[in-house]
Amino acid sequence: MSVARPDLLTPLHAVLKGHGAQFSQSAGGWLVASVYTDQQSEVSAARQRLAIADDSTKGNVRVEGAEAEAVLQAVYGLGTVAIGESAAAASGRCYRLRDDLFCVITPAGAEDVAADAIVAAGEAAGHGVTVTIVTHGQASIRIIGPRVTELMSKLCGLDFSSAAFSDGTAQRTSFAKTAQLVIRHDIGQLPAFLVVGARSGAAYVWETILESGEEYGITPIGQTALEMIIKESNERGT
Amino acid sequence: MRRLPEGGTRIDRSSDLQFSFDGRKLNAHKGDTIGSALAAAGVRVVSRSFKYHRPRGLLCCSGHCPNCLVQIGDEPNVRSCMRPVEEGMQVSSQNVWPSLRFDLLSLSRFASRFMPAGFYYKTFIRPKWLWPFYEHVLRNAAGLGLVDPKTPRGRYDKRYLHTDVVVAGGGPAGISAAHAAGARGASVLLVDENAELGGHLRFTSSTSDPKRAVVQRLRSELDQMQNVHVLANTSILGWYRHNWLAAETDNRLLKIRMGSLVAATGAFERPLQFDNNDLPGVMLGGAVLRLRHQFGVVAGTRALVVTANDDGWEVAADLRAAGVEVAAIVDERTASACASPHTVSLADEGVPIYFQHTVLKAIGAGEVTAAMIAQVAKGDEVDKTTCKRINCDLLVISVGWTPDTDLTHLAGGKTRYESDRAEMLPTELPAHLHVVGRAAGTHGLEAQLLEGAIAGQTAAHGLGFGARTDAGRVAELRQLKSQESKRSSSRVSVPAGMAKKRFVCLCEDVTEEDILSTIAEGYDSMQLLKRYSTVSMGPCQGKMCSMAAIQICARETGRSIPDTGTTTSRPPAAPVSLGALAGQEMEPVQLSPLHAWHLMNGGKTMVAGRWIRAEHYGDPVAEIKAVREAVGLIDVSSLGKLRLTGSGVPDLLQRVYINKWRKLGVGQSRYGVMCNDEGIVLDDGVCAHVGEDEWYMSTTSSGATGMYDWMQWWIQSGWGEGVHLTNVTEAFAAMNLAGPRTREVLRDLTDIDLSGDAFPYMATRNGEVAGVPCRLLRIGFTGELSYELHCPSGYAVSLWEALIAAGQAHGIKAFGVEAQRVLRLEKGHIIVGHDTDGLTDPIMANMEWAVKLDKTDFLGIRHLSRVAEHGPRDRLVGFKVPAGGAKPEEGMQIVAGDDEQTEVIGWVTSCRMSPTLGEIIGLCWLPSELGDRAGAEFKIHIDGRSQPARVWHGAFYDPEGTRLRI
Repeated sequence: MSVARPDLLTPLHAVLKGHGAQFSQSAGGWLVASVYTDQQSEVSAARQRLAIADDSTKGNVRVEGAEAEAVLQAVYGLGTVAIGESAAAASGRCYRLRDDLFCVITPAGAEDVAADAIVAAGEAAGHGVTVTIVTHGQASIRIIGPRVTELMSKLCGLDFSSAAFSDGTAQRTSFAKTAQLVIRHDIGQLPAFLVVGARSGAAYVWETILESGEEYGITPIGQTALEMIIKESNERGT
Repeated sequence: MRRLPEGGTRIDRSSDLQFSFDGRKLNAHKGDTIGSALAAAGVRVVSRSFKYHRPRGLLCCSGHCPNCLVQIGDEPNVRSCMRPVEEGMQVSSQNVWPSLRFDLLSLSRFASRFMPAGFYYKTFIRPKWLWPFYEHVLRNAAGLGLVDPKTPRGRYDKRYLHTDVVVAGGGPAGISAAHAAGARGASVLLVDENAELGGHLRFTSSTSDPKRAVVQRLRSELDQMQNVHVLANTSILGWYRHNWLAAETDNRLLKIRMGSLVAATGAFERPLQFDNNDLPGVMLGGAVLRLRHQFGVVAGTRALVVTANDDGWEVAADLRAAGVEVAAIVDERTASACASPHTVSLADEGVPIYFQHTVLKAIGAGEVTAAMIAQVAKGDEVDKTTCKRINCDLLVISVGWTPDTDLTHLAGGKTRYESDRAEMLPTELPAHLHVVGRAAGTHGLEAQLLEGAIAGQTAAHGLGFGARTDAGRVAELRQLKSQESKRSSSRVSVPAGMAKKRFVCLCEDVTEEDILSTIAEGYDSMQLLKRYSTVSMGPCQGKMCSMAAIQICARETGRSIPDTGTTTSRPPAAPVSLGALAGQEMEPVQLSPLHAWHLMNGGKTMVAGRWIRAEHYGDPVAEIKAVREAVGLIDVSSLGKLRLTGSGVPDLLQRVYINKWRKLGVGQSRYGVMCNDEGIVLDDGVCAHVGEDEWYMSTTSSGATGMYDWMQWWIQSGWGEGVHLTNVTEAFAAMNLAGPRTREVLRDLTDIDLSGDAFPYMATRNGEVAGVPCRLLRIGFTGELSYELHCPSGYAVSLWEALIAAGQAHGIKAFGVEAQRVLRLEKGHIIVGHDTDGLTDPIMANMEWAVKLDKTDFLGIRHLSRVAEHGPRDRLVGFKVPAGGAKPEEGMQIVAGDDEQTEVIGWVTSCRMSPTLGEIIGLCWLPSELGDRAGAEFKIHIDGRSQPARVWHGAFYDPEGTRLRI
């Protein structure tokens, strides 16, 4: 029986629809919120105030095992990565969460390839690592803008200053009374965080961030605006 | 009181506001507090006291005393001397009836002799049944403002801050400390409860002291420092372990993590105890200066200044400069002890000066019109033959300072009473704490600045910023402090007869007489005195009264003040709204990937732990019927799902489950029960062997996290060599398709062979359904042919909608939790946590069949072996209610005996009317001797009557289990 694979919906699909998002298809078969109002004002909100975007289409692969570091080094040529820090992993990024636990964040739809490569490397080396794709179990919310640390400090007890929480680092923490992996992922000079947590709590976390960010003029932005911000940052060489 | 034609650093005279007080329209300027605006309008009585309903007026104007508490709309207990006026604000007095001026509740003063301290402990304990009446009357007569339960939830939130150094208090010493720490590169938060920095310099007279310019310079340099942040209008509530502070500003609770704390919290001006010391018109010197300099308001027309230090002379000179007639200056010191530069000028201006005198009594009906003074004789005595009446409408008290050491105490510092200074001063401080300025008994401006700078440098140095402070500067500070004059009177009250009330605690209306009677009753330690008399337990939390109570206690008991001891400082150190403590409303909920579909299709939701689930879609009976006769679909995504990998998984399962797992083949699944090491049921679910070294376990919805932690604990402890456990609960959506027509629905959507032979009961298969990659488990909770479909959560809606669409031709209905609970009850299945509790073992719960005591070892084996040998005391069994009987509610008690002697022997855990059977069925706990006998009758206690029911063994529906195996 040949049936076309249906579209994938992010954990926030219904919430974003309620906020007036327009959707389009994206890599990996996901339907993503492409725009809410207009791209330019969304870009401007992120650059000048605070913006929030659904980034749940990112692939998320968990790699567990005493030899996980060795396997990932074989696949991605990583150096030594301390707990809470990260390194580039092909087109994604690999974060060390525990001595024997890593999380590889990939572009949308790239997690299967990444997982296969890691499994193959593990088998080839005879290492017993467990590779689990947890993309569908996670929601990733990206918060961007000059006032992002102020917002984050309303919802989480960590020190979000650049000195204490630098770009490319991650912390597992309580955020808005839920368990989340908070990743600092600046876009050029624009400070930004990814809040990655259980899919079932995504709507709650999204709405809580919006409520907390109201005083900073937080604005939901679509994938188009997000891509433009990233592109502009790359062009500026930042 | 009146507004001066000029002056007032906080007000904008070009901007007028209107507000009302008890319905009377009043004018204010932008920047006025309610208190200053009332004073400018000549309003002297602002509130009534807590117990005797005595009129009270502005006293401290610094937010410390209870005299100016008012109600603004639905917000009670607002400190009017701190809250800025807003246009149209409706302010009212509180706890008065019928009005502030004419308060009938003040008649309680005539009964005051019957209401000494602690009277209610003795009076209202008998008869006990009258307490609700007493409570109602007392609560209406005493108390503060009104809380409106219909008040809409306000906007409150919380913020975490991190800094190297916190400086608490923005006076000269605090500014200097912040500047010094900031200059060394430390990040600094300077916190002050007032709108502007400056401490006492904001309202004390202008002088030519060059150090004032230094403060101004430091203040402006702070604004240029990127690493120094000033938080004005922010009250520090407390210090907590691991060195963090709670603070509140503008409905926001701040949690501040810091490296070091510099407490520059200043000092409170000390009231004096004399007859009628609470009359409106009696004000502290600092309050008079605040009104004058910050708001351009003078507090009276003819002032009597009572003092014991040079500060009182500053107030007198200041009032003179503002055009107020100074009726006299009464100084308890000798003339030679007074070093004020104003003595000569005030004397030259004809102001009567009385050295070695003090005030005995304030005179007036409702407000001060005169005062009685007398000469101080030996010790604390006064010579009554020297009594003199002086007319005045303002009685200024300026007799000393109480260092604000609350924060010092909370942060682990210790203080000691210095009798030479008559002040409690810090002695032992932990490394993270520095105390400076008036809080450390340092009153001179030069010394305050130097002390602040040294503390700031030391705090920064301790955190790795800059070098240690030069020893020469420390010596210089020591020299300056040694030159400080005594600012506070050792005298706390005037022992002159007490013809009228003299209040120690203004918050709780505790008089000096109350303190004396409390001590006479034997409560002569400060802790007991506080609890019995309630002194220091009101809104000011002892700021105004604690020192006086200690001094009186010491005097009456003949002990020294250090021997008398102090009360314990506890947070909050400043008033805080409950809303700020509650913060932003954050109630995390978990939603299934199908939540939106349920809402769109009439799903009525229910809370199940943190999950919001579909309880039903309008007609649970129809949903049950669909499952029994056609096909139904339920969202079970909330089930816990764990992935286990590694060759050691069978060993692990063998130990954590009570049944056997070693021989379960790939593609098969099995129901299992987990117990703790005491044999108590923790959770249940199905575990499938899905690959050579891969297993897929389901848990109850509420048990997912707990079981993950439980398993992880044992894995980390060495069980299950090389096992990796991953919680994939959220990664997979799950839905159960159940009913006799299930295969017909699925057949159109998948290539998987669904026949009973190819895909038997308790088997598991992988494949695509409607184009979605799925894992199918042939299991169910309803007793019908069922397939549980697990798919990546992103596909949940597509798969669900495909199943619903394919099922239309077969009578499919979505069913919710309520239908599922009835269906499982008909099959006699238990729900762990609902039918079981923290004492239930599997043998009691009728799952003896699953307990495999012939295994070498498993969690709970010892307990279960004993229970298996002796039999359980109680048993979870089914029951039926005879036709026509009432349906018992879950939790109802099962009783034995007659009306004379009834004994509770069990309770109902589940009960429903079964639409399939047309009978009321349920599960209940009974003693084993009764529960083991099928058909035995027992009684359920329902609304005072006994409802008969009979024990039922086995499933109520399809006991052979043929329907689920077809």
